[in-house]
Amino acid sequence: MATLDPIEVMVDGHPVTALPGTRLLDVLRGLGLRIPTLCHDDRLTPYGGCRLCVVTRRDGRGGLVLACSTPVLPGMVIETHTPEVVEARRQQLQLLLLNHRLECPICDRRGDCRLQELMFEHGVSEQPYPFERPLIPRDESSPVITRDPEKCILCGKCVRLCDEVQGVAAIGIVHRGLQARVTTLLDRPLDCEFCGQCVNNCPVSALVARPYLDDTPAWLREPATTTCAFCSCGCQVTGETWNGALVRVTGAGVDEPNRGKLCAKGWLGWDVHHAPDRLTHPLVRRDGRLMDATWAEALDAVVGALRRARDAGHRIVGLGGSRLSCEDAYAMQRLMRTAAATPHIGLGPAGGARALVEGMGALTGAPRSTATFDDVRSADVVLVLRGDPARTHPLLKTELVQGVTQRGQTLVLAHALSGPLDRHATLRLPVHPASEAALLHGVAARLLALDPGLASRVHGIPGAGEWLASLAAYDAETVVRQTGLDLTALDALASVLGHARTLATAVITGLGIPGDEAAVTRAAVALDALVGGRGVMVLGEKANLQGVIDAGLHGEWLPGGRPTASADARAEVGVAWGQPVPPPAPVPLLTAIQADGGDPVGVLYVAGQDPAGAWPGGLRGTEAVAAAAFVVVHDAFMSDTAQQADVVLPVAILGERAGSLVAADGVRRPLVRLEPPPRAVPQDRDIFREVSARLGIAMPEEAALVAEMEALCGWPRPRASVQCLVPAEPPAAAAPIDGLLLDGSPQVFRSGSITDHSARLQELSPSVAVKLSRREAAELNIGDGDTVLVSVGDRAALLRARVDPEVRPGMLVAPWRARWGTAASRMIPGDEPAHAHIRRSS
Amino acid sequence: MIEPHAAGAATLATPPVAAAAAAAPDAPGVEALVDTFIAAHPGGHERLIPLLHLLQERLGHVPFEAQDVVADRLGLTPIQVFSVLSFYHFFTLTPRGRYPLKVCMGTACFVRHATRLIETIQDTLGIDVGDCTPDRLFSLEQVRCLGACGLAPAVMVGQDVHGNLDTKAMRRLITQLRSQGRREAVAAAKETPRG
Repeated sequence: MATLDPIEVMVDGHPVTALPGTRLLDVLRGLGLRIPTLCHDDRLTPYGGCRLCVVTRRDGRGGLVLACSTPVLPGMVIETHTPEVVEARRQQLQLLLLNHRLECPICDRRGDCRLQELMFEHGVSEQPYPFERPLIPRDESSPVITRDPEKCILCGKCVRLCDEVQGVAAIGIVHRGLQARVTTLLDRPLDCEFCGQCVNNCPVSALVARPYLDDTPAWLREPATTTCAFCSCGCQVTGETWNGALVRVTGAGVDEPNRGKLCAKGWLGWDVHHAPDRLTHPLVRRDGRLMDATWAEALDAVVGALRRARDAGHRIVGLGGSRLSCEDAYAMQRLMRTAAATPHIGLGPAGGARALVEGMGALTGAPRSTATFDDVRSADVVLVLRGDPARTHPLLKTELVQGVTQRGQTLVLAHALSGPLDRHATLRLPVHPASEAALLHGVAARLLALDPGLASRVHGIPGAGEWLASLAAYDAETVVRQTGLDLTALDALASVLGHARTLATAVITGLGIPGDEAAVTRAAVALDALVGGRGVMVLGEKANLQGVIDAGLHGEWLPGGRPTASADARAEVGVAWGQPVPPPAPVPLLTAIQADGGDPVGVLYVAGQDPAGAWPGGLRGTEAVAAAAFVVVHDAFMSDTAQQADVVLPVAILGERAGSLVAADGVRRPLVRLEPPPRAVPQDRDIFREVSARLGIAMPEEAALVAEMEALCGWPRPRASVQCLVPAEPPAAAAPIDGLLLDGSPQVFRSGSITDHSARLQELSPSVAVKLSRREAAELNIGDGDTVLVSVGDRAALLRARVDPEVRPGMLVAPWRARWGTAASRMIPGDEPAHAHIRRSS
Repeated sequence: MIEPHAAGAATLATPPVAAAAAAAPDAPGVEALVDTFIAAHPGGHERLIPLLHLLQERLGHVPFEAQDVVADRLGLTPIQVFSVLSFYHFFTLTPRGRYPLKVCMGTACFVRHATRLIETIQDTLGIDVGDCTPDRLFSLEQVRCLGACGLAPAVMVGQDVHGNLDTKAMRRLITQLRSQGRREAVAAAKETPRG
């Protein structure tokens, strides 16, 4: 664009250059000038509500102008601190006080209030106008959030964040003049996603979070920024502590990737630290019962079992989880590969592991995403596959909402489930469950039919010919049958992709999402190569999926993305460790755990997963745990696996840990300890190091271990690119749909075993229930609160029904796992979609 | 409390049109109105205010049920619709009369005794500002300047401006509107014979 030549403006008598179209406020702040604002937020479109950012314009239509909503123009003459500017701000502050009950000394926000700061700076202490402030009672009817309309200065930040960023628009400003106030429809209690952005961005204390109300003034609280560990977005959050206790959590300012944004889990879920059912003592099974034990006894039992199994040549299996930090995962695989001398390690069915290893890894040679949040932000078309990020990855959802509402991004949503993002999608493709890969192959074939020249884009890539040939099986008729979409929808997608200047693809993963995540990922990578997209981002279900794989906790991958199959790579790592590295296992980890082929598991060492409680029934996790001769579990809670274990070792979780996480964007971010764990339980790696030492192989101490890991892993890892293509799998015979699709994938307030233990999140999420659409409710004569029998094949569960208008007809939504009894996880056999029947039983 | 003039209203069978407005607006009717408008006017959220105008005109008010339909079709949430609606005094949540009497309280009308017109209407119809007669024929509102200062004091009824009104002319206007309403009701009843 030719208009991007810098222009010159005068600011306070000095010439300044700026890019045309820039807002005056950004130019002035870029010069280091202090321009006060209350309603402005970089993440929102300009509003001009508080009118504190006024500056004097001397040229053209002179006078006071709003810096936040005025673009710079050539030859502008601006003065920022004239007497009239200061006086205008003073008067404006006094006017704002018309709406604000002044009680600064006892206010929750004292010392942390933008209004208070500005009043102090401008010498304003009260409002001189002869008006009575309207008396409006405080609203405490909502969960978590209290609204105090008498303190609200109507900056509208909460309303605009809720709409433009969160995409929920649960609140609005109603009425006008002195009657104007922020409220919900008919003043009902809030029924929203409780992301907390309204509370965290309120410049005053009109919105406060009851869990974080405390008497400690801001200047006594100690802030520390850490990485949220509830999903793989890698959000930076600030925890404030007082006397060693966590008293408040907010989004961390302007830090990437979330820039202050939060979700319910990252905002409120930290009460898990103090959950009453936290494990604080090691447990050892004696005479068939798990009993409290000392650390020495527990470690002796673990070491004894490992030594016996190792020396007897029995199979030892190390099952890690993507909640582990990089350091913990590194220590675990080092223990398993050296002291326990077993190749059977990995993540099993952890959400996203197969997408990264068998999806990305198969085509790029590196188990990593090829796109980042920046690619998703800057692409003009974003394709989201398999699930609704509002339920699984809330930060991605806010980026997409902002893309659509603020930047005119085209959002294509292709999955079978229901979710809050549906409302914002430019193109919503409600495909049959598990048919996303068929959709991608079909649209690739269609694009090639429209423009055969496209094939030249992939010609240089090995395997391209076979891939192109395999697409022939995906003719329009087949794709229509597989996906349940009509031809118009397929053409609409082809048109969007054909016209996309830049495309970014996001693959959502999580236990309970139907379909083969690896196949969808491969299809997405191939399509991305065909249309010249920015890349594919795989969003792992849990926080550190990428980091755990980078650290080598996977049978096929050594630290730093070195393939275990390569003897050179094993030798290189072996030199660093001073120990030989075993070659890859002859069978996949899942087979090893299930002990198929008659080779029984001597020791099953589980850290960060719950095969007995959280795996789909079809994977036979419960049976595998029961069959293993000796089971060791690291967990913070008494999971189903822990209940069957021989030794249970309590560990630190979430903000009790130090170390690092690698988010879905491939960036490694620090974990900073916010508060100590109960009874000083160790981190996972402290246990692994001790066990390794007792088995005769001493691991380096903390600093040396981290240095060794960093040297091997080489973060930041370079961006991967497509190295080869593989043929599309032949179309599956379309399975007849019998009954309703049972959706057990993560929900907004409930995303796994940890969130189940948060009392605050439990308050927000309905009690264990199966949600159904209005249509099914009417057809089957089921009402809110009825007890219903849900069955998949011969597996059934009694659940409470809840009619939810957000649920798409033809589906049932049930929690994957619930604290008091499992729901969907036991009924859903595996990757394939589960079709359920439901009937009223009361 | 019923004034002599209002007695006429008691004898008047409820006009069919008013009856339609009085009944809770049946959702399909509202949906049809909104969908027809949406089909005829492609676009985005900028259609919100014209749509609210249409509903206010056709239904005499914009009840919450209708707002839900508008929100659904425009991809807004109900609170976003109500936020706009509550900002503008033109839109009402309760039904307006078939003949909404908007008495101008602008400066010119005010100094020429517009308050007397309000009092006359209150005395004649027995309703306060913001209210509607039980037969839904008349409602009373105060408005700012109608832009008809030369005709002060002025009253707007629907789309028509009546100027230079005094107490007597105001009473005459009401009587005239009432008989007009009766005539139209009879005509409407003939057109659509009802069992």
